[in-house]
Amino acid sequence: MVNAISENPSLILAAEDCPPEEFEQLHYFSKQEERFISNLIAHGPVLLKGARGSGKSALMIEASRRMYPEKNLSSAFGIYISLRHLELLRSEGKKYEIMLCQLIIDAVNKTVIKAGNLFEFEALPNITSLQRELSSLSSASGKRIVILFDDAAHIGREAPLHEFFDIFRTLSSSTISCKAAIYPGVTNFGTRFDVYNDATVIDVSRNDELKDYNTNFAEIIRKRFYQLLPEESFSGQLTLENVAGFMGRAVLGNMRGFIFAWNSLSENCGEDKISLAHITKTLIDLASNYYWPLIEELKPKLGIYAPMLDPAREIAESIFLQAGEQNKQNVLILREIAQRLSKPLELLEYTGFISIRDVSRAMKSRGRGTRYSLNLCTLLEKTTGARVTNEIYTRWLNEQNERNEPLELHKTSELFKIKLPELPEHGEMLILDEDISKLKKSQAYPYGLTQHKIDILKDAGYFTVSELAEASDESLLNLKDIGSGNLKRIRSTVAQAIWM
Amino acid sequence: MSSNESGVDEPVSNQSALAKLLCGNVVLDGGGIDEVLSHLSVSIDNVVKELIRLESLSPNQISLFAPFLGRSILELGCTALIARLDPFRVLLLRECQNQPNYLMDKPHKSSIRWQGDVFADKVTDLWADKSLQNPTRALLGDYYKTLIWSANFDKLLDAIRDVSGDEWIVNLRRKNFERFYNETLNDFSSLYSELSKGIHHELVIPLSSALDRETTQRLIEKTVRNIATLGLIVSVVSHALNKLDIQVAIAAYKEIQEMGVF
Repeated sequence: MVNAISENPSLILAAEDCPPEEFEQLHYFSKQEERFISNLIAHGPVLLKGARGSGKSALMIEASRRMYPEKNLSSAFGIYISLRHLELLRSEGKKYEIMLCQLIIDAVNKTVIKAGNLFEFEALPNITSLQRELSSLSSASGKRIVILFDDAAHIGREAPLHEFFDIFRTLSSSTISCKAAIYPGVTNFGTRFDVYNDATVIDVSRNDELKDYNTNFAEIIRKRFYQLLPEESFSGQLTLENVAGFMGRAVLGNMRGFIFAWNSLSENCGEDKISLAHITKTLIDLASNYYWPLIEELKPKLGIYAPMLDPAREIAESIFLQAGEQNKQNVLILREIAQRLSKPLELLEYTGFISIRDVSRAMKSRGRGTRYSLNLCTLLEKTTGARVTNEIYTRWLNEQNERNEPLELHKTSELFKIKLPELPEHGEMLILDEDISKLKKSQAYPYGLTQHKIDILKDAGYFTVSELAEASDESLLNLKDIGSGNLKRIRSTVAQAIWM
Repeated sequence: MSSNESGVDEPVSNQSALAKLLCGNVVLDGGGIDEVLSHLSVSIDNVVKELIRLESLSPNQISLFAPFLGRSILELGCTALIARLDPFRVLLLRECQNQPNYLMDKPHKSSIRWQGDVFADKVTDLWADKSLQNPTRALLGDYYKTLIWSANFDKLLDAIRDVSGDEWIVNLRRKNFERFYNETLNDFSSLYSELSKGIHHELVIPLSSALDRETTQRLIEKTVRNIATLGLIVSVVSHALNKLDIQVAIAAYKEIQEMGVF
């Protein structure tokens, strides 16, 4: 599996890592996602909000592919910018503005070159000059400008966010629209930006209550994995559509989780037909090798919110234990408790353990609560017998659309007793100063580095994650035993460590 | 009732899902407010037919006509909801328009106004004596927010809790009232202005770029979704006129999404 990642295109987990020439072949968009893409192309500010791996980058890249210069006839000039730049994380105030403006200028220049250098663009790295030049570009090209900021706002990295949203708002005009991908839990938008007034917020999440859910996941399989599990692998009630839909539900519709899940299922099946035993093994593997380690991986990236991860784990263990024992797939948490525990619950949503379905729902006894769907991998671990039986498969697939009453958690529940720590005023992103040994292959970093490679890097003077992140390709390729394949692995492990 | 080419009203038939949700079950051959709602229902139907036809038009035609149709839905929808929640306001207007001295070429104080009947100035203290001297009855004003929208939002959430297969409902259930209301206010306000840019040719940049296909689709979808959502809430407001059974309203809400204009 580890070696396969650089060779098997189906295992490309992040859309931004996908080679442009393979993008179309590897991506499928449902009708709902087509509407999201349409909103990204249309004029007007948009925030695309979704958990890690929910597919935000793929939507943004696809939107940019449907605009000028990729599509000559489009009336919008599309500029895609990934904000995965270490220096942005470390800057604030004027320095941040200059860096962000420079990134935008670089991205516009690249797009202008793609357009055949038909237009002049000579902005200085400040907001006034940039806006003026973008307006001129719009006027010269006869097209509106759409800037897509990928990976714009993360939880725990709040220092530069008010500057980002200031720039987002200031740049927007009658001919320039800004779009940004943000994570759930981002609450700091600065004083000048009103999130629901200054932008349309699109929640990117695949909900199993919607039509064509199974079909959409089956289409993804046909695009990415068909050779790994051909039609002959499916039989009886385990049809391609149903198994795809089931696995989609198991990971709460999260695309990255789904790709992991399907790859793991393919490995577990080998040449055999798919069985419930294979599905069981896949879900249990995912719980222990993907979901729980995610919490570990997240901790050093969270800044001031790092102390919230222990309560998040405690909450998850309590919810999944009770839901497993009572055969429930959803949990309804009394609003008062959900509000108090909002930050750890957001972290669980971000890591794909839960997904919000109803903000306010009447509870049986009294009061109102927030309903979350539960990840079936971690749920299965706590279910009696810990295996997918016929009954569980049918119930979780829910083709008859039957109501599954949620587990209700009131003031008498364990959740009510969970205490939250005080948050520190300042929180560093610990990962940047961590020793690179942290990046060794492990459950948290399944595609991590070997001890041999770590030793080579340390001998060359790269001791911390940030030193390794800042090293140029050239200097790494000059090291003994580091080839282009290793470089790719180093880059993707460092990216996984630093970025959300 | 509808008017044919000779100006004779025809009975309402095949009411579109949007007209049904906004005007409720219209009473054929009724007088007073029933007549008003029948007329509004037919007008909405006519606009819906044109919205569906947009799909087959050229980009230039879409830029020219879509903003007008969007504004029509916004204005007709607001008038219909006002009529169902506050019939007196619309009856007054109807009587005024029936007067022999009502002139088509003059503005009238009795007309439904965006600022006044739909939007209103913020009321800082709703229950202060001074505020209650002349309380605003605007559809999206502060009294409506408290007495209608907020008071019935949870009731609606309870009614739609087990609905599946409906994208708008799935999204609605993920919002608390404050988020829903802020977004609605902002959407109504921005849609009114954005659509008017297309109608009044305010823009000095090419219209086909500013109001291209994607932008127009977004505007129309947003308009229809916002007005239909208020219509859905009205279906659980106990004093609303022509109230639809909530299951009928939910079915209409879904049918609107499948109308084929997006």
